[in-house]
Amino acid sequence: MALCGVADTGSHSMDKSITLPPDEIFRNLENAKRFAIDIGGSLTKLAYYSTVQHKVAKVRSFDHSAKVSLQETDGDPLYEISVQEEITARLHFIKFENAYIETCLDFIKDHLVNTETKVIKATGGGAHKFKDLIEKKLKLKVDKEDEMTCLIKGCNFVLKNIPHEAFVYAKHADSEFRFQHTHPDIFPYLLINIGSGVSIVKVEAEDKFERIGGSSIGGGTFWGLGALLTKTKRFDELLQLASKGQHTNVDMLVKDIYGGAYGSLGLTGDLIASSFGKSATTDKEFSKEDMAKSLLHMISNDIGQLACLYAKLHNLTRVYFGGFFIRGHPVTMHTITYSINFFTKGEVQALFLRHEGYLGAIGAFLKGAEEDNPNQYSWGENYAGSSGLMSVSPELNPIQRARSGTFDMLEMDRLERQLVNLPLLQDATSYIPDTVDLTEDALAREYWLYCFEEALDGVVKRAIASQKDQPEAVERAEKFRQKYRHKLQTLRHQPLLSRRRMTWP
Amino acid sequence: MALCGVADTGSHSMDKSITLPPDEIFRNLENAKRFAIDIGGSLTKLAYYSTVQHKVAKVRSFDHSAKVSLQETDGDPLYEISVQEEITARLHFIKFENAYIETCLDFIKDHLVNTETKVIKATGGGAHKFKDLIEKKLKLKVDKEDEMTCLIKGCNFVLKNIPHEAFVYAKHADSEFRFQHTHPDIFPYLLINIGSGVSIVKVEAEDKFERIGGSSIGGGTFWGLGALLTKTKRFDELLQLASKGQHTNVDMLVKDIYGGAYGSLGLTGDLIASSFGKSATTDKEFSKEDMAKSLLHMISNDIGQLACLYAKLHNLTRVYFGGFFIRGHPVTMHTITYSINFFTKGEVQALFLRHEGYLGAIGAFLKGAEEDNPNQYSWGENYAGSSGLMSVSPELNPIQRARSGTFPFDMLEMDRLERQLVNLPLLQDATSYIPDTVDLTEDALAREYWLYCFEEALDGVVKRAIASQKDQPEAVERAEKFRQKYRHKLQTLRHQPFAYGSLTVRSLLDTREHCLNEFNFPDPYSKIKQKENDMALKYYLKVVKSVEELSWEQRQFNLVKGLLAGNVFDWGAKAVSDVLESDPEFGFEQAKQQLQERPWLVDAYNQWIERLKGPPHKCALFFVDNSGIDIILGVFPFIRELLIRGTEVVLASNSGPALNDVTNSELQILTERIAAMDPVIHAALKEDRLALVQNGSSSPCLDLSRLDKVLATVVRERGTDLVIIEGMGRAIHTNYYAMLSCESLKLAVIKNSWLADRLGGKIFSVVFKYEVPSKAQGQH
Repeated sequence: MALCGVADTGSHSMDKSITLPPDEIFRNLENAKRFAIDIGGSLTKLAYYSTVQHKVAKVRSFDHSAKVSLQETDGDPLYEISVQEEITARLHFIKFENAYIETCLDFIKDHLVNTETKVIKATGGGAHKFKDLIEKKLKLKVDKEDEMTCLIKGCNFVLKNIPHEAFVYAKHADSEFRFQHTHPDIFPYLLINIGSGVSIVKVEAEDKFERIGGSSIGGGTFWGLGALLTKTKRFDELLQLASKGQHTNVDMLVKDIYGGAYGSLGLTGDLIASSFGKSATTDKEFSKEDMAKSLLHMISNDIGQLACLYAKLHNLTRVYFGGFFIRGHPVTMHTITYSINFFTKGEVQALFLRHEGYLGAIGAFLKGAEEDNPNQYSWGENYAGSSGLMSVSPELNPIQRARSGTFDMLEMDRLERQLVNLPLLQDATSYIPDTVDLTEDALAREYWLYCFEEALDGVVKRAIASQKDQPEAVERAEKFRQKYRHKLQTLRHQPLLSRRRMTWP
Repeated sequence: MALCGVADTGSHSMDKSITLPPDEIFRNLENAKRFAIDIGGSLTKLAYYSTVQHKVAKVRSFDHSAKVSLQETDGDPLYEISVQEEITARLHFIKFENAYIETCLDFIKDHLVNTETKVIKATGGGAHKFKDLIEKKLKLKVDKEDEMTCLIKGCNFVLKNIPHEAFVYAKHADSEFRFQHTHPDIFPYLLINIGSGVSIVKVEAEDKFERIGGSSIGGGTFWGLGALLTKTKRFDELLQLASKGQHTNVDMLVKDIYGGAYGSLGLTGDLIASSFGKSATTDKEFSKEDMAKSLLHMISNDIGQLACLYAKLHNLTRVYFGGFFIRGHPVTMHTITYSINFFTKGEVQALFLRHEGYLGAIGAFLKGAEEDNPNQYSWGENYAGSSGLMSVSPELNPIQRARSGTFPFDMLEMDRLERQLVNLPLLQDATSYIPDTVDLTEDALAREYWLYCFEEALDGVVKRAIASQKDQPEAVERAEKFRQKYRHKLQTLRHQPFAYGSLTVRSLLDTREHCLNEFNFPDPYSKIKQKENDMALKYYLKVVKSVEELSWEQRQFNLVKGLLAGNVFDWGAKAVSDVLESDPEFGFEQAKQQLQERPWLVDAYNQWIERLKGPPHKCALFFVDNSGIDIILGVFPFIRELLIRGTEVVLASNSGPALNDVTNSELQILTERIAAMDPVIHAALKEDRLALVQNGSSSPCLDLSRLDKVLATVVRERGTDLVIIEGMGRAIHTNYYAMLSCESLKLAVIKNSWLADRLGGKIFSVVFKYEVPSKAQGQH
C-alpha cells in the first residue's frame, strides 16, 4: 500500500540567494529544447536537451600521391592538424530547492532562444501545484507524465549509461561507498522507492515494469510519527536526532525478555523483539533521539524485510533503493543495508544510486524526447559539468554541505558511437576495467592526487603552447587550472564521498 | 525479528474478588496430577490432568440359558441395568488474571491431595517472575519449557481435537464468527503469533516447526507507540480509542496525493499511501482516536502483508493468527482479516483460534505428560465444563462483559475419549465435509427457534432425569442443578451463539448430554429403552412373518415403511415425546398410519427399488438410531432382507448413551436375542455376515469425520458400498448434504413441525434420499 515519493526534504531555513551565477548552472540554454521538470515536495529537478559547440582538433593526411618513394617524404609532416567547431548533444539536469523555482524560471525565460519548444514535460507530486506558474513564466504547456513510468525510465537510463551509478553502502568500511560496475544488461531488477510510502517495482525490460508490492510504512511515516513523538518538524533534523539516539532504550530486545539469546529459535539477545516495546509498560520519559532512532530502525527493518521477501518471491538479486527517505542520507542507507544483510543473510546487497534524485526528471525528459531516440545512443557523464555525490546529512559533513551551495548538476554527453562489451571478455558481468580503486586504497589515492596536482602546471603550459596563435588561450588555460584543481580538492576532501569510483589513470 | 507474546493485556481495574466459588473453577483437584502453568504479562493459564469418577449405566444380559423356549422369558426384562462408577481422564485448563495468582495457588495447595506430583511445567514470559512463589506455595519444582515449542504443541492439540477450533472473522456478516470444520489432517500450516513482536512459524508435523520469519512491529509496538502518542497506558483502552478513530485524518491516502486513484498502478484513491503521512507536514493537533486507529491499521497491514508473503513463499494456505494482539479482540481480528484479504486478493483466509490463549499452557502440559501419550488418544471438548468464547472488547459487548460475572476466570475442559476417532473412509471429500446441515450462528431465525425449542423441552428432560433415578432422593436436587446449568448455557448461546464454535442442533444436543453427565444422569432413558426393547421383541417374529408373506415389490415397500414407522418412536423429538407420554399405547401400526403418503417430501423410492432389482450390494453400513420399535421392528427386518439378498451388514451404534438411541452394548444383547429367535440373523452372525460396531460417539447426531477407528477399518476391509443413515439427528440435522463415495440412503421422519415447515412439508413428512455418486466407485 504505497507509493513513490511525493515529498522532498530539503532544508527550509537555508539562505535563499543563489550562490552560484545562474549561467554556470543553466548552461547552454540558448540552444535548449525539450524541457522536463520533476517537482517534489521540496526539490525541483529540471532537465533539458541542448547542443554544445566546441572545438575539436582534426587531423588530415597530406596528399603524398605525387611522390614516388618513401625517402622522398622525409622532412615533411605526415598529416596536418586543423581545429574545427563541432556540435554535440548534451543533457542537462539541475536540482534545486522549490524556493528558487520562480527565480530559476525567470532566468530560463530570459535566456530561452529556441522558439520551437512548446511543451514542458512534468512529473512529481508538486507538478500540479506549480503548473500555472510554469505556464505563465515560460509560456510552455505543462504536459504531465506518469510518475512511476518516469522513475523507471530514468533508472534504466542511468544504470545503462553511467557505469558507476550504483553503489553499496558500508558505514564502517574504509570506503563508505563501494561502486558497482554496472553492465549493459541491467534487467531484471527490483526498485524499492521509499517516498512517503513504499513502492516495490519489478523492472523486466525497458518498457516492462510492475508495481508488485508496497507499504504504507515509509518516509512519510518516519517523518509523521517522528514529528508527533519529538515535536521536530524537519526531516533532516529527525535524521540527525536518530543518528544520536540509542534504540535499545525504547525497543524491547530479545534479551530483555529471555535474559539472553533465544537459542533454539536462532534469535540473538540484541535482536529487536518489539519496536517501542519498552514504552508500553515503562512510565519513564524517552529521549527524542532514542525514539527517533527506534523509529528509524523499525521502518528500515520493515522495508528491508519486505524487499527481501519480494526479491525472493520473484527471484531477483539486484535490488535498488531510492526515494527521499534514502536520497544520500548515510543514516537511512546504513539501516536499510543492515536490514537487507540481516534478512537475506548477505545473499542480496542493498544498492543505491548516485543520481537517484534525478530519475523522475530524466524519465520525464526521455518521454518527451522519444522522437530523438535517446535510448539508441550511448551517453557519458561529463565530469566537468556535474556536481559530485555529496552527503546531505549535516551531522556527517557540515563543512562540505555549506560549501556545496544549493544547486546540483548532472550533464551527460551523447557519444558519437554506441558502446558495447568486447565480445572476447571472459565474463562481462564481473569485468572491472580499473586495476586499483583509489576510493579503497588510501595510500595510492594520496599519491595520485598529489601527482596530478604536481603535474598540473605542466599540463597548463602544454595547453597554452598548443594554441600559441590564440592569445586568449592563456586565460582559458588558467580557468582550466582552477576548475581541475577544485575538482582535485573536492576529491581530496571527500575521498569517501567521492562522486564516482576514483581510479588510477 | 520478534517473538511470541510475553505480555497479556487483561484489565487491571477489575474487581479482584473471585466471583465464582473456587471449587467450581479448579474442579477435580483431589485427583489432579501433572500441572503446567503459562504466565503471560497479565494472564495466567493453569493446566492439570485429573480423573473424573462418574456414573455410567451398564446393561447386562440376564442368563436365559436355563430357559428353553422363547415363551418362557415372557414378562422378564431382557437385560438388567446397573449403574456403575467409571473413571475417565479429563484435562482442565483455567485462565485468570495474574492478580489472582496467589489466591489461586493457595486454593490449589489446600486441595491438592496427590503427593506423587513433584514438578510443575512452566512457560511464558512471567514464569520466571513467579517461580519462587509457585515453588513456595505448591512445593512443586518449577520446570521451564520452551515457549515456542509449547505454543506449537498446544496449537496442534486444539486443531486436532476440537473440530470448530478455527474460525474466520467477518465483522459485518450476519455471524461475526464463521467456524471452520477442521479435519484430522492439520499440517502444514502457518502460525503468526503477534505478541510484543511477531513470530511467523511454519508447522509441518507434530514435532517439526521452524520460525521462518518475524517482525519487531507487533503488539508491543501498538501498545508502546500508542502509549507515547495518546498518553493512554492500557492496551484495551488503546484498542477502544482505535475503534472510534478515523485513520484518514492522519494517514496520507492515494487520493491525497493524486486527487483520486492511481489507476495505472491499480491503486485506489482510498488506499493508505503513507501511514501518519499527514502528520509530517500538517501542524494541526490530531485526536487520540485517529492516531490510535492509524497505528492499528499500520501494524495490522504490515503483519498481514508479511504473513501473505511468507505463506506464498512456503506455499501454505492455512494461516492461523494468535498472540495477545489478537486474543479475542474484534478490532484487531477485523483489521488483520481485512489486510489478508487485501494482500492475497481473497486467496488466503485469516484464521483465528477459540482457545488461542491456552496454547502455551496446553503445550507445557503435554510436554510434561508425554509418558501418558496424550497424543495417542482423541479428546473432546466438554461443553459443560468450558467457558465459551467471549468478546473481551468492551466496545463490542459491554453488556455481555458486565453480565458475565464469571469473567475473570475462563475454563476449558477436555475429556479423553475411549476410542481414537478418524474420518469415515467413504467420505467423498474429507476436507470439505461439514457434518451439520444448518449453521445456527449464521441462520438467526433457525437459531431462535431451536434455542426456544430446547428451553421448552427442558422441563421434560428434568422430569425424565428424576424419574430415571426414583430410588435416589437427592436426584431432584441434582436435576435442578442440571436445569440451571443447561439453561445458563442456553442463555449464553442466545447472546453469544459463537461461544462453542458453530452453534448447531448437534452442539445443543451434545451440550445437554454433557450437562446431564456432569450431574450424574448418565442415561436417563435407560429404563424406558429397556421397556421398549422388551415390548418390541415380542412383535419381532410377527412382523417378520407378515412381511415374508408379501410379494417382492410389496415386501420392499413394507420394509421401508417399517423402517420409517420405527423412526417415529423418538423420544428426542418433542412432538413424539408428547404423544408417547400421554398415550403409551401408540403402536407400530398406528405409526405407519401417521406417515405421509407417497410421494414423500423427498422421494427417491423408485430409484431405490430399481437398484434393488440389480445385483446385491457387497456390504451395507447402517448407522442406527433409536431403541425399541425402531431398531427391532424397523431396522432388523430391513437388514434381514439385505442379508438374504447376499449383502453383508455392519450395524453402527453409539458408544455411549444419548437420549433413547440404542447403544452398542444394548444392541449386542438385542442382536443375540433376535438371533435366538431368527435363524437368518443367527446364521449371519455366525458366518460374520452381520457385524456390530460402535461409532465412537455419544451424540444423537453423527459426525462422519470423527468415528471410531475400528469402524473405519471394518468399513474398508469389507468393501462397504452402501451407507444407510437413519433418523433426524443423523440424516437431517447432520449429514443431509454429506457426499459419499458409495451409494447412500438417508431416511428420516420429520417429527418437528418447524423443521418440516422449513423443508416445505408437514409434520411426519418423510425424507427418503437415495444417492449414487457420479462415478459410482462403490458399485460392483
